[in-house]
Amino acid sequence: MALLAKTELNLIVCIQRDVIVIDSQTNEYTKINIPLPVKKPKSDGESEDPGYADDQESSDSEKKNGKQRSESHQINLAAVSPSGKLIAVTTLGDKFLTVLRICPTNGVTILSKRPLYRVASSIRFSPDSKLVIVADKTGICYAYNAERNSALQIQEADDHGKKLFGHLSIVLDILMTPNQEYVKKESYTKLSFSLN
Amino acid sequence: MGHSEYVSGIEVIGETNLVSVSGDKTIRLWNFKTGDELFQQQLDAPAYKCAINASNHLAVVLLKTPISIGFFSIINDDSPKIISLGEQALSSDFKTVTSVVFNDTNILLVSGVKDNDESLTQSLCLNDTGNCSGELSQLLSKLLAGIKIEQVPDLSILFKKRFDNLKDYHERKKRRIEEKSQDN
Repeated sequence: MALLAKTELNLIVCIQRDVIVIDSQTNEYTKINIPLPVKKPKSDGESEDPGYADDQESSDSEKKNGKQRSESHQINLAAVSPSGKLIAVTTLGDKFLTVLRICPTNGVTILSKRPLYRVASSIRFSPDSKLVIVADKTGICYAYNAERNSALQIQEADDHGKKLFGHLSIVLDILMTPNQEYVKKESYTKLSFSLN
Repeated sequence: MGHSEYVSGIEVIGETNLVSVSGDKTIRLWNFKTGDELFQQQLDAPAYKCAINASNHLAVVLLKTPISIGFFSIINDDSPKIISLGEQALSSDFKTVTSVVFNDTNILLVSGVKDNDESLTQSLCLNDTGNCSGELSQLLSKLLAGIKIEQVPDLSILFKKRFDNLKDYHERKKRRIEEKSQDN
C-alpha cells in the first residue's frame, strides 16, 4: 500500500516493495527496492523459522478455501526515526523488519533485515532513535536495536528483538513517551506500561 | 484508561499528556502518568488514523462518506482542551486511507486506495490560503500512477463484534427446517 512518512528534510513514500525518499526542498527523489529474501532450505524436524513465507501453510489454506489467493509481499508499515536518518519498514509475506539509512547526499542504503514471527501491526522508533518497537496482531511487542552494531542495554539476541509485554488483541498503534516509557493501544482497550 | 471502541491513533502532547482517537467517535486527552482523562471531544464519525504537527494541530481521519479529515488544536496549558478547527472532505475516490502525514505545518498529505485498488494521494491545506497542489502533488501522482494495492486493510474488523447467540440459533433452526422441507 502507499505509505507516507515525514522527516525534517525528506518525505518518504513506500509503495509495493519500493522506498522512495523525496528531498523536500528540491523534490528530487531516490528509490530503493527491498529485495525478497532467499529462502533457507528447511531440514526435517526443524521448528518454524520466523520471517520466511511459509508456502506449505498458505497453499494448504488455499485448498481449504477453494480459491487462489496470491500472497502479497508489499511493505505494510513504515516509520521514520526522530533523528530523520533512519527508516524502518515491515513487509507482508516474508515478514521482515528492514531498517534503512538516509545518507546526507540523499542516497538510501539498507542497514539491516531481521525476521519477524508475525506480520507487524504497528511500528515506531523510540524518541532517541535507538530502538524500533514492533507490535503484531496477537498483541506482543518487540524492541529491536535500530542500528545493529551500536552498544545497547538490550540483553536478548539482536536478531529476534527483546520481547516486551503483551496485549490481548491486535495492537493498532504504539508510541514512546519522551522519557522512554511506553504507551500501547489495542483494538478494544488502552493500556500503558513503563519500561523501567 | 479506556475508550468504548477500538483506539487507532495516539500521539504524545508535551511531557505528560497524550491524545487518543477512537472508533467510539471521541478524541480524548489524557495524563498518562496519572491515568486521568483531561478532556473529551465528540466527533460525528468513528476515527481511524491521526497525524500531529509541530503546532499541536491534530488531523483525524473520519470514517464517513466521503472520508473526511477533522482538524483540531490541542491546547496543552493549565486547562488542557481540544478545539475543533473544522473539517475537510477527501475526494470521493478514496475507498480507504493508508497514511496521513503533515508535510508542512499547514499541509496534510493523505494516501489511500480507490475502489479499483489503485493508490492515490491528496494534499489538504489547514488554512484556506495558499496553493496545496503543486510540484510535490504531481510528483506523488506520477510515482503512484496505476499501482494497485494487493492487500487493502479491512476496517470493519476493528469494530467490536457483538454476538447474539439466541438470534443465531433461531436463524440456524429456520434454515434447518427449510432444508428438511426441501428434501421431502
